[in-house]
Amino acid sequence: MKLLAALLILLPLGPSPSSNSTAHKFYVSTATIRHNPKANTLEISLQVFIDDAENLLNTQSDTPLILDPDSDAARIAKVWEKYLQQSFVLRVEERQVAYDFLGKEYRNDLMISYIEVPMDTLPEKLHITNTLFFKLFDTQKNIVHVQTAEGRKSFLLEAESPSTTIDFSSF
Amino acid sequence: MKINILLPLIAFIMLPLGVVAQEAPANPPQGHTNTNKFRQLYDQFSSPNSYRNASGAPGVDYYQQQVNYKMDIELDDANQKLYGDETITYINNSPDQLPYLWVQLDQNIRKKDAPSTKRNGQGISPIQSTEAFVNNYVEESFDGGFNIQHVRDKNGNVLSYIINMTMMRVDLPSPIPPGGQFTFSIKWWYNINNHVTNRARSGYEYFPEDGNRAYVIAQFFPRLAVYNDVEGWQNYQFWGNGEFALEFGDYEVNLTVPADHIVEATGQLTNPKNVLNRKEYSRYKEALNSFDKPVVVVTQEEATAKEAEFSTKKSTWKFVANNVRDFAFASSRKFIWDMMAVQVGPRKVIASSLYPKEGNPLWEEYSTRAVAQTLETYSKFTFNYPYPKAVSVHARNQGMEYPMICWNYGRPNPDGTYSDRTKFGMISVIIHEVGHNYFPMIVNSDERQWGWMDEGLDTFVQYLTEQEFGEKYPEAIAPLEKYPSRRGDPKNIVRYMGGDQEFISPIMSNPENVFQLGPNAYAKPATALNILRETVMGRTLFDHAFKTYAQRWMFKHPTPEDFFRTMEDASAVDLDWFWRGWFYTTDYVDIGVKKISKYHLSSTPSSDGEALLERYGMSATDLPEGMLFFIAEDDPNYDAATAESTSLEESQILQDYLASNYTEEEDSALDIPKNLYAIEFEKPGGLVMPLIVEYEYTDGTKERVTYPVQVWRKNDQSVRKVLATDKELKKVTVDPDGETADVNTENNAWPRELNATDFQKFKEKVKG
Repeated sequence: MKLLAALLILLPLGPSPSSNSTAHKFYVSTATIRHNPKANTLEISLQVFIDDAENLLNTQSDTPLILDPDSDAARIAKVWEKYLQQSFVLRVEERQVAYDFLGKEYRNDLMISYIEVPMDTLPEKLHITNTLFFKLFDTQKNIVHVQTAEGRKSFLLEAESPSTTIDFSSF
Repeated sequence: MKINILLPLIAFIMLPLGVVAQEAPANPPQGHTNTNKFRQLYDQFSSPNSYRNASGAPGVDYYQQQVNYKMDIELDDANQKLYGDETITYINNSPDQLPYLWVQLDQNIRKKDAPSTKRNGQGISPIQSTEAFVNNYVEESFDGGFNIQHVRDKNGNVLSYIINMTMMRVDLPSPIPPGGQFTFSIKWWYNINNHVTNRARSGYEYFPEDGNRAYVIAQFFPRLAVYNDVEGWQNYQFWGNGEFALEFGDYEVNLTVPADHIVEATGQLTNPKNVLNRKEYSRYKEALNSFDKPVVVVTQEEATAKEAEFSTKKSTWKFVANNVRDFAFASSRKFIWDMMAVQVGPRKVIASSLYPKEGNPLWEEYSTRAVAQTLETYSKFTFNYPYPKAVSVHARNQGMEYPMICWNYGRPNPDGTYSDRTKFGMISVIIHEVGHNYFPMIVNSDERQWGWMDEGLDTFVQYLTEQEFGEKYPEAIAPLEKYPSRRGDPKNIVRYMGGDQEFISPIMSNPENVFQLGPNAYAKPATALNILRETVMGRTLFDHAFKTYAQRWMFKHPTPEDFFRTMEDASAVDLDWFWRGWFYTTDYVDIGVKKISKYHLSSTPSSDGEALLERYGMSATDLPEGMLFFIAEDDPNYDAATAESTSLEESQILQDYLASNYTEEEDSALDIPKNLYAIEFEKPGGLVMPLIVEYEYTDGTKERVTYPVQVWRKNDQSVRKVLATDKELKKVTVDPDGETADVNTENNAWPRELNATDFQKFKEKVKG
């Protein structure tokens, strides 16, 4: 618990942080949800900055975890999956939809997580709540892209409005 | 040659077809203005004039103001306050009378009730950390604005002023005439903020283990706003995102700090002997001539030993800088200091780094070397670095640039280990921030209005430098073969440009008003320039034009149009279509191949041919001798059996034509193609781009053809091309190397092939 508090103090939490002139001060994650009609699945790739994920993991763990290369791959996968299941939640008609976390890979400074959602049929509506990193970063934005054979739509989720409902019939 | 023979014949059939398809409807649509993607940018550009000419160069009447500063600054480490007394000499080179001067008070953005803290919409987020809640709603907010003690003229008379947010208007006893100058002084102090908790560009980092602070101090003194031919007095306040617009001038600055601090700053240190001890001074002298490796001037052991000192004595470091647009400094007793000399063209430049021990072992290894690499590569693409030094200072979480000095992140774990990501992040940010010396410190664009003019250009040259760094230090990037640049590669911008239009702004937007400043002002313009260089203009034309821009506007104030105009003027490549699409709109690239039709020679007209003849009231027998009929395989009149038996080579009509128009010798050199294809390309995306096509044949060979971007000038949706070849066509691929930032590659090949998505590739890998 002590460690968690110490880490949080070091993280930027100020109101309306000003952005400096470089690399990564933009707190963004991008989830791309694709309907695969053949397999009847939703294929989700979730892209986050590695350092954001590393900060997050260390708030969930008593021992320090380091990503890319992973200090403890099995434990990192476990902690990250648990966090994902809590923070990235899909519902159809009020019922939470179970999904498989296939794993993650790194590309430059990004970590991409792959999630597969088996579906019997494509539901009319899918409710998404994505609270990824909201506890850590005031200005975190979570973008959700949805692609089906009929078209594509995007949603911007922020701390004040962490959920959206995708109406597949409107594509 | 084969194309010459066939084209007129094909044109006869193809062109009138278009006319047939466009029969006038009953109510013709309304007219429209010129919406052609290739129309010139007269609607966006202001008229060139004697200040800025049509070539994109400074005009005959170009002017800029000069502002010189003499400052005595004192850092109160115990109380985290900064005191300043500055004398400003304003030189009016404009043709205008100036009754008042506007001074920027950027620190006022940290005043308790600054409007900038209230500019964003708010909500109660359902999930909040306790710290965030306390910070936002419980804790009293930090009061960091300027306390102005007095504003006086050079005789000590009080000058009246008013402060409007982050700007102060100083009213003058009489207007400064053209060519005149005015000297006045401002005395001030302010509370220094913690830049780590407030995520600021300036402030201190506190180290709880030893109770010390490392200061990186910038936009810390009242500075003159820009007055020019484009904006008059700058009147866009500092809200936090749009950075700075500043005049060039000469600086003499005396920095008084605790005696055990080490200081670096904009400008040359004129009294090293007085502020360094004997050992430090002799290493300092040695470093000035060490071209092969950095010399450590203050070692880690020495810096660590001082951590408990907290000297109450003071010492004054004196710096002189000429022709700079700003001044910044770093100060701490925790600083380790290393330095080396770099030969840049005719000049010796000193590259140096300051870092607390928390930065090691990473900083001693790479920082100064990254500075040196930046000076070399940037100088090659722009101009020789004109300043005497470049310093990289380690500051937690920060990357921020000032003339000759910048702050950079990249900190190892407490046990000294670090990941590749931390290492590459650190090298990249150092290259980026040192690179800012070129844009905007020397090519002095208005950051307050146009973030991309420095960030985009800098990120572009950063990409080139990173690649060269990887080539020069292969051991630093092993086992990678190429430096892992985050930005610059066209493929990396696809997700942004193909994203939701609601959250994308044109590059030509003020930094305060864009949704995602990173992709908007850094990655997209950098990628656009990379595509211009590699795909649209070619390196030779691009590099010369880019260098021309940098050299024309070195130590001057360019606008976006000056850049756009110069790039065209120096290359003779009309790029109005490119600027309009990439910089003034949020359009994206999506170009694909829609259809391949194989054509055969036929003894009778195709159904299209019949329709064409009917339109002119003719039948096939009315045609003159010597006409060829072509039929596509999907035409209703197509008969495979006959088509296969009549090859072009055996056509009597064609043979007769060749025999009567060419000598036997010429004829034997001609090669009649065996196969004829019409390929239809589609362009669902709004951006026009050169059409890069790879034709693959059944014999396994491939051919690359680039059709100029002008193929889209008369039809923005689709274009057809004819391929006459001896080979059998197997596959057509658009943009095979992914060099245009095409956001949708599902239509890039015919026959359609379903590329496995990253998701599917990953699943394949883990599940087998």
